[in-house]
Amino acid sequence: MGDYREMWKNLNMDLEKHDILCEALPESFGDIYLTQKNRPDAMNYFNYTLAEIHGARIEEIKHEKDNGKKVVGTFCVFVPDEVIYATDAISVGLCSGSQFWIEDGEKVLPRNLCPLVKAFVGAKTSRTCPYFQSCDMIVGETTCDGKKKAYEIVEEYMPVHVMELPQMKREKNFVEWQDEIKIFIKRMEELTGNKVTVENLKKGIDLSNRKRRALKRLYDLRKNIPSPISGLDALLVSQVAFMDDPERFIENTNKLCDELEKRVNDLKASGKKRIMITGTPMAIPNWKLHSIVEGLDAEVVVEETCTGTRYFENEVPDEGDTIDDLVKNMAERYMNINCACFTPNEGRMDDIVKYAEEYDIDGVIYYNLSFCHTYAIEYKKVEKALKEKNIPLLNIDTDYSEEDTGQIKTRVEAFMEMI
Amino acid sequence: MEKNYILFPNYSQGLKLESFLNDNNIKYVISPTPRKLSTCCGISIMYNKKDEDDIKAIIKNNSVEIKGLYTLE
Amino acid sequence: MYYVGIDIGSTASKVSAFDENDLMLNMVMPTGWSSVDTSNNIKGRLREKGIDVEKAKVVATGYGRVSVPYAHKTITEITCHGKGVFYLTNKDLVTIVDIGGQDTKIITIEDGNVTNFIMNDKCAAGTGRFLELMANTLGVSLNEMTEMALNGKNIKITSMCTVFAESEVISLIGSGAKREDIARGVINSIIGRIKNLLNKHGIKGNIYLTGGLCELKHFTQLLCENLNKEISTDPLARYAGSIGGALMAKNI
Repeated sequence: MGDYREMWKNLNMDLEKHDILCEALPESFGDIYLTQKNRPDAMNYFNYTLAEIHGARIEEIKHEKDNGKKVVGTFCVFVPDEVIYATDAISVGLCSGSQFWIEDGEKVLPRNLCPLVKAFVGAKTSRTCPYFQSCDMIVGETTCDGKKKAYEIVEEYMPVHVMELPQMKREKNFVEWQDEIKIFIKRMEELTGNKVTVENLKKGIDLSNRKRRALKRLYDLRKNIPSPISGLDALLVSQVAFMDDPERFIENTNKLCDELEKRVNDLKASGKKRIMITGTPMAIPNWKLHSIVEGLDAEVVVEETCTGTRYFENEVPDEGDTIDDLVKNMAERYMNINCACFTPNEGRMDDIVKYAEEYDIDGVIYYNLSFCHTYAIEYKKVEKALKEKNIPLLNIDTDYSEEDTGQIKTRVEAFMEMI
Repeated sequence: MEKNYILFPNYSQGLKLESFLNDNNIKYVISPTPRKLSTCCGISIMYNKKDEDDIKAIIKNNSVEIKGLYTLE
Repeated sequence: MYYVGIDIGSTASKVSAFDENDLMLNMVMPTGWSSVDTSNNIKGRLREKGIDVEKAKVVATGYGRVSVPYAHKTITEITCHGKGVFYLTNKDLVTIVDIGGQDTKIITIEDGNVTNFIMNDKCAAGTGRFLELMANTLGVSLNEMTEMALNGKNIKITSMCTVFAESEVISLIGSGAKREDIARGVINSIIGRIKNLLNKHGIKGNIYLTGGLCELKHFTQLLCENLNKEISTDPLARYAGSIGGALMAKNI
């Protein structure tokens, strides 16, 4: 515990409003997370980061800022952390998973828009997110029209750098993304006053890769039957990955994996249905679908989402003698993320079918944040690919509100009874 | 069910007690502080009633600063 | 031993019971404000019929399934409808159209098992509640409205939203449109929604109608004409969920 009000005030936060946000978290986290049985002891670290998410971590970031470091906020797994680390800046994935921010978002944005976009704009305009308030710059990208245009509104509040992500995967698009990374390097150099060198970029690559490896290790452990960790807990680890100090995160995720490795030998078959979730990201504190699924006789064992496999799959090779070489390696890795913003995006169907086998999946739930057109449209392709493999699929289109929880529960429950 | 919490003046005291609990093999859960106990955000430690005397001794012997031990129904 | 299925819907609650051999009881009552009161009420009515829920096997289903404290198991209405319709039709392949008070579902069953289903979105458009509200606005009963619709010419109701559709109907009445024509428009509007759901889901085998509307023979007739497909139903189709629940109680 601690009194952070002074710190929040100095970050120009709306204390009264922020207090309403703080009020909800202990109870919902307690109800959803702390009621789970037989959790790994090492989850205590992640409980800690969650409990101190607007406290200790913000204090730590403030301390680093006082020592001259810059803080950069990101919204998407396409923004290369390697560059941010190379310039000795701090990268935070910005929170946009709460219904709390929707109302403020809707003051400046149309209602018929993805809740994630409404939430991040609301988080900024309402001055209730200390990460946003700590950022010296935010880095956007053109993965969807909603975000692309929303950055123009956020730019009225703070510096924004938008990276233009190509939406096809032809050779020229790979080159275009290399150029974008180079422009981003320049912008980061200007912001921090630190030059990107082959040496510090390799360090940034190494750090990012080690983080990916830790998450991959965690996901590989979930392939065990039964999984040694709940889907809810694994989701929390992924969510924390975006905001935590990377070295400390890697250390604690590996500690968790050590414990899970020991657990695997003692676990007995539970008969729980093994579920894959595929689709749009789940930012903190969006635990809605996982808690519905795991409230039934089922476990989520893999997420093919941006807060899942898309975040950590594939490493950036650190071979090369020039910055150009390393940028090329980075561009290759990032352009091979199978996001629905690309056309065509057949790689994603291959990924889903591959994971269904690797994780021994009983059924797939397609999770679509309302008004996310690219993922909503791609459902048909996924449906076709899974039908060929005879893997059951359920489509859930929803936002952050609780009003449809009962209906979703009925659908998910019926799906479990069916498979 | 009854739940028992230890509250701290700051998170570093909480982490300090955590490491002693680990050393002594005492089970605990780190939890966000319930609003009923305090309006300040941040961590508290949930413990089992049976360990209370041991925990009190650890707190005393290692001069961990706490705000108090609380029980919620 | 008795096997009881209780289907607490958003509007009506249905109860069915089997003894060791036969389906021996079906009853329906309004759900009212409180599902808990309703489930207590059901307990009393079953006792009057000689069934003590403490000694029977009970499955609860429907949106109020969690509010039946004496149920041994809860199963979703989707699975229960599948079992119930298989019992009523004895057909291997059926596409069920279930028009409930709060949602509309299309369910495919193959050999008595649900193989696929979809539900309407989270609003009342295309549900029984929509029809009920429109009948109220026209000042007639549901049955009267469907009968009126048979003699009416279609007026297009453009609003999907129940609230907007209601004011649209009010202004149609105000402008002097014939009530029969409005009724036809209302019925066609809901049939249009069902058609969309069916097209999206795909039709396999025969179409079978369940839910409260299956008792309205004019509605079934209009649905047949409009879809240009044969639709079967049964006086017991309303109880498909509770019958399915009671059948599944045998497995407890």
